[in-house]
Amino acid sequence: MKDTHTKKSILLIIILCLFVVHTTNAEQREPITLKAYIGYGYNYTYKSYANIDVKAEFNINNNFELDAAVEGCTANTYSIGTNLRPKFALPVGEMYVETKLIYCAVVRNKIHDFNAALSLGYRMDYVNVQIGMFGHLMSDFKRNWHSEDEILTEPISMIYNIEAFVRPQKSIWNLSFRISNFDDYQIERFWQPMFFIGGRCNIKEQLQLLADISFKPAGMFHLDATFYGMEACVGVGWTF
Amino acid sequence: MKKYIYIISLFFLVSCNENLDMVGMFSGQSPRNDQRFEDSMRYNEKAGYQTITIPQDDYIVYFGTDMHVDSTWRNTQEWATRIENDKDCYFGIILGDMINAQHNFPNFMKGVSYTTKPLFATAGNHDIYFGQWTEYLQYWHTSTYYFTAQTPNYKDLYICMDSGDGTFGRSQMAWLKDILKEKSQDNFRHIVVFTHTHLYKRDSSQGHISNFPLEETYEIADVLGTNGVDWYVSGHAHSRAVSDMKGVKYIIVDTMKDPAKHPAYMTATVGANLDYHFIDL
Repeated sequence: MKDTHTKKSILLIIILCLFVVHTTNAEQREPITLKAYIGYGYNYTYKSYANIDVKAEFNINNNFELDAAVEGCTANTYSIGTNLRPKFALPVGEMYVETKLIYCAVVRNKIHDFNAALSLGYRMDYVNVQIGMFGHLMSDFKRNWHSEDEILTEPISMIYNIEAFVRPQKSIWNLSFRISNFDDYQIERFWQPMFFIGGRCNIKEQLQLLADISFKPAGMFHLDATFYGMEACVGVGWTF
Repeated sequence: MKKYIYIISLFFLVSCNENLDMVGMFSGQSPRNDQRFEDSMRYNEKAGYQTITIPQDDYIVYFGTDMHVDSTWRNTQEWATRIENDKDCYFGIILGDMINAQHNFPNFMKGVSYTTKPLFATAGNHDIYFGQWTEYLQYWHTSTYYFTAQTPNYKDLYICMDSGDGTFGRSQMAWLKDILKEKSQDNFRHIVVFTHTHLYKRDSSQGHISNFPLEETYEIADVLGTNGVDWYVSGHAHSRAVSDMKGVKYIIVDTMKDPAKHPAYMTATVGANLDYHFIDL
């Protein structure tokens, strides 16, 4: 009985390996894009700061995308984020499911910040919308790992993204306007929307120039909104 | 086309609700945080910072919040009466959202007139939206200040912060850091920071209530945690919650508004230790 179970397990592992090899072969045929940004930001807490971001986008095959991003900020915060995105073509546009994991080491305040999100999205030439749920927890660098007292978990909340493009996706240049409570390195609480304007221009087939501006208000859902911060960055992207 | 007309009409109908400052969702109508801080400091320079002399080392403080007074003030009156009748209580603290919307401060003041003991208040978002900051100043004069409770053998520090628009702003945050640095030399028994907006919320029983941006959340947690603050007491979320971070206890006090199903307030027993009790109205 035990032998049968072991054989079944081995067979399952072989099938899984074959699937991975097939996927890897597919990956070699699909493009990988590397993006690098430098940015300047200002907010009430950090005052002026600069950051450097590097992002890799892998089109694993027609049904999977994987992104990984790293950011270092002169405000002494460091973030990594990853998105796994299974996607399904529809007669118009495509639907995707995004799994997002973000970790930020807020070294200046000695706090760990973790986020995990699962969302459903739909994108087409002029629109990209996404809605889902996320969990958030914070912890002191010096916390006692044998105690749960100081891991602060916030209730499961909503992530959202509404993005409009002025031109179709395959255009040489494009401009986008976005309202969302997340970016590659942070998921804000859902009542804390951020506003983004993004630009892209393909200089050559492989080379892109990129630019983003974002604004973060405070107190919008206090019905007493005020400016909190903004960030601007420029970057280049290279598709292999 | 009909669909768009329906959506736009709905937006305007919601905007006509006299208790919701929809314009404020995009741009607050009271002066912004830095300006309010300046107004508060102007008053503080003139009036000075108070010391409450308490003839015993152990005493009780009443914390009340989110009364949202419109036309009735029953719970506020009851809270004030209990303060008046408690011989161990020497002052009360109001954590903001005293009124629901414009022109209701006179009604709120009728409620708190049932005590003659000192009351200290901060501005909540409902106290300042619709441009009510001038009304707030008329009754409470300042929303950023500190005071000392002096007992025969100890002294306790209470710091009031204005978070009515979901941020402490630049100047007020710098002031908080300076005050904590300066006062940490003074050997206070306890340090309590109180304001309207909570820093964390661990349950969503009342829905998701807005608070500070994340960067400011980390910063406040660090500043309080490294300067000997014992408690950060707030309202805003309408339901009690207690969290710990970096050795600081973060307490959210229930709403006291008249129509609430379970209105409650909090008392703090201040002695060698700080203890809290939530009390139903």
